[in-house]
Amino acid sequence: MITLNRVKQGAIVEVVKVNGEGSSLRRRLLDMGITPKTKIKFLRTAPLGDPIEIVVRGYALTLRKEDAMLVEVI
Amino acid sequence: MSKLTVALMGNQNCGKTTLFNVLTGSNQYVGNWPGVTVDRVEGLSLEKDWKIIDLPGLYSLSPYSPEEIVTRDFLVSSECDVFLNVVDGSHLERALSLSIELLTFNKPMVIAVNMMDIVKSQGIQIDLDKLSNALGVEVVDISASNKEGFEKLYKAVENAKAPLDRQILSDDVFALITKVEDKVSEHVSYEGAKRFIALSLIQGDEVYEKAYQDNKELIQTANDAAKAITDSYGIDSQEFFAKRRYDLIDEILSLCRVKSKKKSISQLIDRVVLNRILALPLFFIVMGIVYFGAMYFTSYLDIIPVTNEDGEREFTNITDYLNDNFFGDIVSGSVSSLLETMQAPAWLNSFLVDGVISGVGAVLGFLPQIICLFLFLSFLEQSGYMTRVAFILDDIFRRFGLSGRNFIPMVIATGCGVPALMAHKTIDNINERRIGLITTNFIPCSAKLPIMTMIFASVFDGAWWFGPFVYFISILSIVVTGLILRKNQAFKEEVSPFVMEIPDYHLPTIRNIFKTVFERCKAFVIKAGTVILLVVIAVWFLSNFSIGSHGIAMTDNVDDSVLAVIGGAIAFIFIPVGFGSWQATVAVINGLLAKENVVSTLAVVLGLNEDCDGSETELANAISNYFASLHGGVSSPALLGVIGLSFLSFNLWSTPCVAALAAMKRQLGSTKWWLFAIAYMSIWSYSIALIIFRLGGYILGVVPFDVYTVIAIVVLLAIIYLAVRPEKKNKVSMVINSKII
Repeated sequence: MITLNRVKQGAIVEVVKVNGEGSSLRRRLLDMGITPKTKIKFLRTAPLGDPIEIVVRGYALTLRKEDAMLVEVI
Repeated sequence: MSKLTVALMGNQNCGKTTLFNVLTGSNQYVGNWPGVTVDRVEGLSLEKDWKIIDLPGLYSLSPYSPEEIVTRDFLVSSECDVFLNVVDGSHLERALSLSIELLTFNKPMVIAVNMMDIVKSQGIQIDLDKLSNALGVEVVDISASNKEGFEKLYKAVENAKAPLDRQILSDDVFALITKVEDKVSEHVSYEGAKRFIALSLIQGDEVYEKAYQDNKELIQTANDAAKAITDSYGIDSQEFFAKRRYDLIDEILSLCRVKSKKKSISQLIDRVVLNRILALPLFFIVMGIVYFGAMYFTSYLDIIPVTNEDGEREFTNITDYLNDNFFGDIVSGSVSSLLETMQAPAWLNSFLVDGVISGVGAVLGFLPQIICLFLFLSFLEQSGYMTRVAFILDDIFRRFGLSGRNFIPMVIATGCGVPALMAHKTIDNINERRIGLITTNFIPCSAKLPIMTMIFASVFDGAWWFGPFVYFISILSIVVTGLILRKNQAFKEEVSPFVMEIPDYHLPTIRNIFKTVFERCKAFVIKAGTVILLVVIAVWFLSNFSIGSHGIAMTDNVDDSVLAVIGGAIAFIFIPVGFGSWQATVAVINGLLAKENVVSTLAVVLGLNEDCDGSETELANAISNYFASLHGGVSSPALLGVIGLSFLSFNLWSTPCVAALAAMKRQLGSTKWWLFAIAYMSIWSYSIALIIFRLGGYILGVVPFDVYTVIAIVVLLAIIYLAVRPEKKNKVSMVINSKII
């Protein structure tokens, strides 16, 4: 199991858990549809190494690596 | 009968503002950029007797950004009769999550599926009847930008009915919510709002927990309900409701949507545009085209035919034509001859031609450049490219309290600070917007170039490092200011985290682009006609009148003018930085009007012709003699250098010209913040000037060591401390001051 910021480009992963209970960021991620069992495609990392772009539920989303660390995937 | 109030709600970038514009005919700004509407905007329907309220675009109703709080407070207050929920048909999964949250309120509601043209072109089929059945509210399809489907929409809104929300949650959870709902105090305006508050409390909503902290029974019931959910489903309540919403969406969409396997064009474009190797070069090419395109077209391309003094036909560029021919000849000439035929006094001619027309003309002369820049930038914004720019550059800018979106205004600022400040409208993070508004004018604009040229020619004898050095300090000013301000609590207003949707590319409509450019330029022209006009008039009076034994009289000699007296009175301020004399002070004051004035004012007060362009040897000699005379006639190159740089620093990095100040005030939206920005820029530039003159001068052995040297060292250390001091542990505070919104 790894966190979302460490996924390889182009890989499709499944969300296991969103950490950081009680934080605003966690609720934001859940609200945006990053819930357990959701499939996420890791599209790319920005040219300078941060942030990352993913596809979740059919739309493209960017988040910073430090925020993506909350999401555990397989 | 009172008006029907319709609230427009939807995700960012779903076409809500476009729909609002069609419904009301108003010119709300439209962009392919998440977060265009920050406040709520009201308008009256063109066709029906409705009041329409455009609420900020959002993804959910959790209380973590000002946009969400504005919307929530409004929904709970029962001010509206019908919810009109706009959803982007090409992104139904995400959009319906908000729709399901809205169903909680049990208000009459209509869902308008927008962008159906795009949906069809992507080969996706949506069965609206099934969708309507599943959600329990009326669903209509529209295409806001093509003005299609509005008759159905009008009918649906007029017949809107409240949904049945029991379909969404299982009976046990529903019972838990009802229990909490009953404890929510009576003064909440309607049942749906109570349900929403109950649901929020079960999910540990800090804002409502704080609001109801005295109602111990309610909080306890909510906590019990949350615990009951965790016990029976094995996950916490936040995750439970989010998961429930998305499971439901998956269920609904599997019934009523047929997706095609077509790859979206946006993703193909992004393979190139956001490619790890190509992204940065492409970005610089695009910026180069925008910037040089606008500059070249307006300032270098000679396309307007004019007749010169010798009666020959030649071509000139748009900016020169506007400044020299239109304002310089045609307007001034016709006003002068009109005044002559009316036998008006000479002072009136001087006032109107030299004061009003040349002052306001100087500002309006920027208009062609501004129009061009905004044409390009509006296209990039509405196409969706600017969001990609934020993605590409975020990593650099976040280090000093800004984000990738701040880059664009800084590029514009090398041309003119006014459109640069106006471009901050599109930055939705309020902290980044504020720091951006304060730092953008540190970039030398085109009007500051003559001052640089003047100092370069007069005291640096064309040294190669001068230009890079000045730009280096400009960038350093931005970085250090960002580092200082971002650690300040005032710049840590709670904002939604940097979770940003990358919208699909849209081909912007010409109509929307022109509308945007028109709106932005209108604001600029109105300002030129009001604030700037008043300042121009004031400075004209001050520099053309003297107070003597005969009372107030007009004078041709600026040495005798009221302005010279004022300059002399406050010149002492600039003694520590090496140019405490009235001539330099007057030049600084006139520079506030427009930075171009610094050179021409110095030329005039040093007894030269007004038409100096800053590189002529005569002016260069006059300036170096003048700087030398300030310090007992010693003309060592090092001393002149530090005085020159000190003078330049203050003019470049202190408050910008009045036009930019007015734009800054408008964008900051608060006098308090505006005054802070002015004070900050003044202190910053004065500190730089002090360090350069006192410390630099001392190191070079041309300025003696005294108390000011000590002050300069203290200031330098203070700046370094403020920039590198450790950040206070950021307490996760959820208190949002809604007055600021």
